[in-house]
Amino acid sequence: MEPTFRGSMNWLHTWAGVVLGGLLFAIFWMGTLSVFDREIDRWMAPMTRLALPAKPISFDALRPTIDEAAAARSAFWAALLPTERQPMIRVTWRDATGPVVRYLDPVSGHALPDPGTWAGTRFIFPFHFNLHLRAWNIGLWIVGFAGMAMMALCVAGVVIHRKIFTDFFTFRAEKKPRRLILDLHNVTGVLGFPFHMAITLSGLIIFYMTYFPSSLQVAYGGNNQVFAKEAFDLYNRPKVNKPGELASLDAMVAETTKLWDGDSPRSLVVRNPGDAAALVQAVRPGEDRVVARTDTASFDGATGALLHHRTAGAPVLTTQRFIAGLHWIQFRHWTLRWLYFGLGLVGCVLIASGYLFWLESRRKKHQQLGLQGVRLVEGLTIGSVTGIIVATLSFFVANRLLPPGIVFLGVERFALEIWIFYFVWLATFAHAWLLPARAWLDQSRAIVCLAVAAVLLNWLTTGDHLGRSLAQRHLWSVAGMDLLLLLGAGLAAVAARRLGPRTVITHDTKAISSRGAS
Amino acid sequence: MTAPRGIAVVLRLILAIGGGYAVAAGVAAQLAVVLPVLTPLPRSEAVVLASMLAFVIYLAVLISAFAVRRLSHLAGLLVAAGASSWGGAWGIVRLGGGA
Repeated sequence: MEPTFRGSMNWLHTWAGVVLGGLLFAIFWMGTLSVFDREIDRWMAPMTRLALPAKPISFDALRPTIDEAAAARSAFWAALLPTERQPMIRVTWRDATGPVVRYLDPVSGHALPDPGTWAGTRFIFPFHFNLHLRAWNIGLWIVGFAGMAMMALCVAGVVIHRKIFTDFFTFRAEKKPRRLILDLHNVTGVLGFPFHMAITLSGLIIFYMTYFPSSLQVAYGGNNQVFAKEAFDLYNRPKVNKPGELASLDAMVAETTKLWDGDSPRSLVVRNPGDAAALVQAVRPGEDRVVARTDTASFDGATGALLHHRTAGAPVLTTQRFIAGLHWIQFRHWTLRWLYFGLGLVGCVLIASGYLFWLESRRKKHQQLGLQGVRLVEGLTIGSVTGIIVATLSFFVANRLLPPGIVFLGVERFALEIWIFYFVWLATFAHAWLLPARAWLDQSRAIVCLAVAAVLLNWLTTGDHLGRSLAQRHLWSVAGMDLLLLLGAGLAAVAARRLGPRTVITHDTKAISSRGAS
Repeated sequence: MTAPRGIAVVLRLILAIGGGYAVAAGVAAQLAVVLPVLTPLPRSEAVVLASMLAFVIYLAVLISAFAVRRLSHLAGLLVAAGASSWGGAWGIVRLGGGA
């Protein structure tokens, strides 16, 4: 490529970063928020801000929903039982229109009102890995490609970095903006390097079979079912198309609890509900370990007899599950959860500062040569960085403003929130390209207003102000969300203050340069 | 025989991304059938290990693809690596060692 290895890596780092940075920022931002996806759910769906009941519910009380799934001829019915982070019961099956998700009160078993939002677990989290582009897995492939590029960027970044050890302790805040930005990029890059590599590789390894199916195709002649049987020890059986009744679910749960030294199931699945060959499967919780555990006890639905018990998988598969578990962080560890959140934000700063360095090193030259590159990339940067934050906050604010059950032009409430997100995000790009000199400042101010509005609207519409949410243990998710919104508003306000004078200078010196001539 | 800069960059990107993927997938396929023959690893485990390692192989190929100076060398190396990995996998399957 270039005469030297370092030169080639510099080229790769620069151009892969400029072209894919916007996409990478979106993935990092949504991934960082996904660390607290269930807390975002509590904030956006106030009917689910419940205390975890001391006594677990009787599983047989869930039967009415199993009957509904059977009537809809669903192949399965699944219940996710209440946990600290998700205190209600989540029941899913599939009817003619698609997946049905219903939330039940953990004490009474009655259905909670429809939250009318996809919130964190259904909008933000899937956006992180498939961008909600599900046709032909195209979103998953785009994110996978971005993931490979992220690792290549990290490696190339280390190669082009001459003084990695010295720079680790170097942050020259008093120096010129360009030097300062490079210091920031280096510090976040070096500090976050192990995390960024590990989180990207582990994210890719979650989908190893989607991204590299060649191994399975060759070794098994493309027979996925034989592989699934051998690797995952899956247990299922076909319908017999005769109606059947389920034996006591509570009895089956009691038996699994004995099987698992007192652990009670985290989820309960009924396969072929309503059929005489119905199967009841209890899945073990994995909150006490990194490995995404999949111990499953399968019972005959009609008699309640234990048919099959799957325990730990083989070593390599367990390693894959460990890596996946490390990425998903579904285990109970609040310190680590906050560390992931912080390091995710470090990744966001890394990407944003990379863009800023590209812009500041070329601004003058492009100005002199009359090139449009800086203007184009600056718009892309603003829309990708502050734009997605503005769009996310608009998503939160819309959630608190839209009345329950609203349908606008045939679009349901949850979809309206999502449309607002995309519409605002697009608008931030338009704003950035049309008004490049003001866009950073305007969008920072928009972040301040929207974040404060979100906190106030949460108070007005639910009554859970910080005083109350901090005082009650089960409202800490709401308090955490409010506090982070306020912290974000504060940081954006500082940014806006510091951007303010600079814009004024810009207008005075318009003849020399459109911006940043100081 | 040097192509203009723009075309050379596009060619290199196609070789690095497309060719690199083909090589990584080929090595994964070959490992998945070779490992159960050479080691006591069961077939399903070899598949999981091969697909996981493929990401690291792809990364290494991607980086090298931008470091190799001449495009013709890069194309030659990728074709050789792709042919030997896919050919090896295919050969072992035909010999009955794999499926």
